[in-house]
Amino acid sequence: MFELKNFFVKKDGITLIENLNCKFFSSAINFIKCKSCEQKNAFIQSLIGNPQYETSGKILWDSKWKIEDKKMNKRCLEKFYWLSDFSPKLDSIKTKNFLFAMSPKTDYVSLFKSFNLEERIMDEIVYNNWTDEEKQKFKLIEIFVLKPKNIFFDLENPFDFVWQSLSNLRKKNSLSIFIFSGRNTLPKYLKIESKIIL
Amino acid sequence: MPVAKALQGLTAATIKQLSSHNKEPVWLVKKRLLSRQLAATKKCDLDINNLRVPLTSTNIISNSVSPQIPRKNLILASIDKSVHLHETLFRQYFDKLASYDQNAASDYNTAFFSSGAFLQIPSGVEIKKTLNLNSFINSPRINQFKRNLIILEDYSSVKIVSSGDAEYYPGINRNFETTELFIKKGAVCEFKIDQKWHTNVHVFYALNVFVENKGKILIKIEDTQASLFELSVNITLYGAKSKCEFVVLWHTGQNQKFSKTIMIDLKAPEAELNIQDGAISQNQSTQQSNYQINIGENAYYSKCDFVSKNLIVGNDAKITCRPEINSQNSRSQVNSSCQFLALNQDQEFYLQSRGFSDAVVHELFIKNMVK
Repeated sequence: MFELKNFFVKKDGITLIENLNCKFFSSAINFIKCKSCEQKNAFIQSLIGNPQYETSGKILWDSKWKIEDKKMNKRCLEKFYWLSDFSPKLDSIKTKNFLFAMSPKTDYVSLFKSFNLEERIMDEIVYNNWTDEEKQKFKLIEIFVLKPKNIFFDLENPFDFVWQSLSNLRKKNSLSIFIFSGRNTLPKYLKIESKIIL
Repeated sequence: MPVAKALQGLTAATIKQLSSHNKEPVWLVKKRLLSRQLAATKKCDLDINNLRVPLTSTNIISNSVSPQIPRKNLILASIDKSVHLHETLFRQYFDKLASYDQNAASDYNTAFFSSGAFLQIPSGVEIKKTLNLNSFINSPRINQFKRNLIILEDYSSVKIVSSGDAEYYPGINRNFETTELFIKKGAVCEFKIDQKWHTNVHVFYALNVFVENKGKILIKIEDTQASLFELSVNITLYGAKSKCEFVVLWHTGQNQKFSKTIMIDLKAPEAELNIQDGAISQNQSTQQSNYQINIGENAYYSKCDFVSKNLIVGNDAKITCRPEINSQNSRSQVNSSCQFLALNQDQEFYLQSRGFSDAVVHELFIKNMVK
């Protein structure tokens, strides 16, 4: 479980989240209704540790894990995964080298096969001229390797296989998913366990 | 650990005391004195009269007594003892390469060395275990002069790590290290320079290599730590089909100043040279690289690949890379490229959001650019 108390987020002096108090339970699907894209970004970016976002208030975890002490890479390595459409071309970095740096022992050939992702991608520059489907499959591979505890779901047009893979992963691991939307409702097949309005 | 007794100043009197302490032969004393005179004629920014030199040897040769290493005919000993035990062999090879180094530090090393290793691997012997030639500093404000002499006879092979370590002392300590490496017919040597010193240590490292027919040298330099590191490498690919791979990845941080001068001569047919140079310079650090590669008139069908990738991160960081490749043979093949990059914020952000630390992000960029 994690809890936000009197939580404020500012960027460039503008308050984007004001006095938020809420609790999130582990292994739950949480729905977060945002008024704007800026608010959604403020919530995600401040938690993953983007230094451009200034926070105040308390973020409490059920364990000894102290978020304030962690830089972005540590937070993301230990807790969060931001599943978004943000896919910058990583100049000069080949997919196989990126994956090897992430986890040298993983059998990526089998993993690529299981996601029906072509092996040629291994020798390509990460995200260079990839289709949306390839990008989303690659992000699922990242999730599979990083094994995050919380996923900030921020894809505009997810493919069906994304939901399917995430629900399979939820069964195996205690995985919390945070879904962001400007709408009041979500598709019925998603069983929302908590709803927060920012 | 006993503290080394030290002598004051890079003077002739210091040389005489050093030689007398080690009961060195006259020819070596003369060579030391001559090298000191030669060094004085070269450009040097050091205040030589205020430098302290250890009188006693401080070298460690790790694995020197390993039972896995075939001892028969193998020579592996400290350099000060080898002067007496293997004088003929020592005299045959000592300073035959380093004397051509343009750097004053190498001449001072010849004049004042008091520690180091002497290694000769007999023909056909393959040493599988990595030998670690470790040096350390155990006195404040000391200037250690370490000398290694390594001879690989025909078709022998070895992996060597030249490492450095020091206890922390206030003030500046210096490590002057010179290695001469002879690689004979068909012999193979993997030589790794792995020097991780405290930030108050200045390192002057010279590596001189001579490679005969079908011999191969692989040099790797990574993760170096010191506040100032001056590297001088001279390689002669003397024999036909001799090969050299030179891989360096330097990552400098706050106030670190690294420079390297690399001179490589390809003198024989079908010689091959492959250089992969990676540099990452962060805030207020400086890196300077000068490469001079000469492909001689007899180096028919020789190959030279040179790749340099440089990444500047943050403010006031500087990288200079000056490759100069001269070919006197129209039948040789040269490929060279030198790239400078600045890290894109989006790319850095994405990688950090996937758990990569700053250091891994920077190295991932460089390592993947270097094939």
